[in-house]
Amino acid sequence: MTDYSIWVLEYSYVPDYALSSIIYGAHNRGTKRLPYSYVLIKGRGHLAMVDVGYNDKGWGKTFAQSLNVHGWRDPKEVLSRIGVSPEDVDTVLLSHLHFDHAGNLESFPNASVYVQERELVKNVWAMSLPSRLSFLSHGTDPGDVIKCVELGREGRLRLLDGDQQDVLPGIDIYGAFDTHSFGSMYVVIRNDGIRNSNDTWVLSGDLVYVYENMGGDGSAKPVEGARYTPVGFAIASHANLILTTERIVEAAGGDLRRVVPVHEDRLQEHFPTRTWKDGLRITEICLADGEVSKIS
Amino acid sequence: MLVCSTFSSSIGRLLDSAEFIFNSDDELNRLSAQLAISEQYTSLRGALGLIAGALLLYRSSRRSDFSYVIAMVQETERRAKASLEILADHRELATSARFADACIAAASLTGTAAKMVRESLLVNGGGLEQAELAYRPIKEAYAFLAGASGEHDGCSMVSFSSCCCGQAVVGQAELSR
Repeated sequence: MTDYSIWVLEYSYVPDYALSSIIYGAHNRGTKRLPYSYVLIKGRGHLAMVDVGYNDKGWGKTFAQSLNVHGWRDPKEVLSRIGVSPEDVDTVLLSHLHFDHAGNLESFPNASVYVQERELVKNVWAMSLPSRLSFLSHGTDPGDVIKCVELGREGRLRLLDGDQQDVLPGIDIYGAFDTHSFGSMYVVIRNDGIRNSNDTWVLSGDLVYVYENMGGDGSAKPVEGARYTPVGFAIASHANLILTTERIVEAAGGDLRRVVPVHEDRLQEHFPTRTWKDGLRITEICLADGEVSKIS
Repeated sequence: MLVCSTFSSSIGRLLDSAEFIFNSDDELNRLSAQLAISEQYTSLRGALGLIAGALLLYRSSRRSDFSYVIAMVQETERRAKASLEILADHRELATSARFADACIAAASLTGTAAKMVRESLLVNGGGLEQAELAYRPIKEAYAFLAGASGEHDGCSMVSFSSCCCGQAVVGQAELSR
């Protein structure tokens, strides 16, 4: 029995991202395509997103133009490609508050939003520091903190304190504090619904960008002798990132293809994928019982 | 002594360069004003996060413990007041009056929001319901700052180099100009 369907939906991409920014220390090794994506989960009566991307209005457009971000599409258009609308989404799980993951909450007017309390509190703390320390807070848009005030008033903000099992039936949250951000988290889907699942998927947020961060090359198993290498950016501790990578790989039962990194360009090599005319892709990670493929 | 003389000659070269770059005191003053305004932009950006955080904490706090909320509101008011004074002092020399005016409007609205939250905490204040009326000026202040956001002014709402691995891409974009 498979409870949930999972799709990775690209909403923009950078064609020539420096590898050193994706894999720590990989200097002078060229560039690669870096997709920007969120994940849609459908099943057990729920439609859930992991992250919501950013909004291309105002400074977002300036940012995209200056950094060679291509093909940005609104969630309404992206989600319509698999036959759903943002209004149908009832749950948003924010892996962290960086603007390219949490910057489009207004597009999901009916969703309850889950975020680690530590992520929110520490970002507010960072914003309270003198301007010369703004590096610590500049990945988060204060507009998204302001949006959380509105969510609180509407009763749609759910603050988490670390790990939480069954945030939706069969879907667990794990805190990964002081890693890529102050209060990151990753999502584990037990797709057979049982506690000791044999059918888990791990949605890694920005804790893993690509297979190489887990010592892999796209194969199911790590490359022999390879070691974990952290992602190119951590506001806090690389040590915590490496230890979190171990937890993520363990949660996936050692099968690296059971980890779904949303910035990994090679998902298309391992899962059914459709590329749209604008260059954006939809990757179908798995289908729930009775669900029809959206990419064929 | 050798060190000192090398140092002196380095300073001399720097001063020569400065004279070359800044053709007049006016130009130097304008640059100074721009830096001061940029500093206030970043300070106000943080103040908005702070006052929003105060409202979030307000909602989750028990009536007896608002010490953190009060501290956050006080810091927001201090920043708004300081920004208004500094921005008023430098507006005439700003390279972009529109940008300076946006910051002034944001500072004023941020101060208004902080005052509303502070007054809601008084014995006869309106409590959370009144405090959350500050949401409107906070949103308006944010809109002014967001509208003025631009990497080239040294003022941005977010920085790609502080989140999803963007440093090198920033470099590429700079190099391609």
